[in-house]
Amino acid sequence: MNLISALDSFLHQAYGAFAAPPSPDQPVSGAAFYKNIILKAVQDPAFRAQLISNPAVTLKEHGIVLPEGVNVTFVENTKDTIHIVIPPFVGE
Amino acid sequence: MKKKNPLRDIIVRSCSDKAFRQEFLQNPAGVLQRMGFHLPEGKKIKVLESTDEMTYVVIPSSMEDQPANWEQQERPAPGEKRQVAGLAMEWDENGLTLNGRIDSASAKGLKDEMDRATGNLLVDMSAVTFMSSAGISVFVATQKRLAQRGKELSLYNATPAVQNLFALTGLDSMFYFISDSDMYVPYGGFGMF
Repeated sequence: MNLISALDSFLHQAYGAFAAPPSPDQPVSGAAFYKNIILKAVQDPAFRAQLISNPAVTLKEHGIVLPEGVNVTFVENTKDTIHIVIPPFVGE
Repeated sequence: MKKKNPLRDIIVRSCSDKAFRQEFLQNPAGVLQRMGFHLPEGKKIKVLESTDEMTYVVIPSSMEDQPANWEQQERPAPGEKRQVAGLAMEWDENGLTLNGRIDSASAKGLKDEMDRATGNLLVDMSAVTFMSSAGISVFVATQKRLAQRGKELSLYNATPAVQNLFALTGLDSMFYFISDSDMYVPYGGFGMF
């Protein structure tokens, strides 16, 4: 399988899976996050730079408040580098 | 019969298998290749570990870096239609949508249409009512042609009967079957990374 297609599909699956009904502490669905944040970052260089340099503030401007103690770092794929994120280790 | 995204297995396993996780962190390209991935040429692959305090989110490369994927020059314009024997074909933003029968009467026409795509191609199979082995060979030929360019043919919402035909010939592993339950929305950016 082509890695790019798999990553792409995985991205959609991941955000689709989080598309739970919005609640007070989870104000946006995965689908909305994908559309308003990820796609916007792909298309808009200024927004992209903001997300990377100041993630919490930029997310807050888009109605996403991070829970206490949770930090988000945005990393960008470039022409030369592809990033894959793995969740924390949960044990054997 | 639906093929699962193998990346999911890699990611799930790296959460519970320490040795595998270490290997994936140190040599992601090697692990991916072993798991059957074709890696894009000239790209470095980096694996990042999220922690309880820090979540990493990946932004796909910017539009300027992937013009070929965003401008839809790699396939005919949406709205183009063609009918061959019992098969109707129509191009849309996501790819090619088929409706009807893929048999020896329509297979050649289908191949001609798919030959117009040079990038990743998604074919909507949900309204295909019948497919013969002539259909299989056309899809195999297209998959091989695209693979030479590092691109891929994916089949969307194929009915169980059609998927079974692929399985019977042992060729199903050549194709990536996508269904609605995958929440797969190409969104004009097929191959966004």
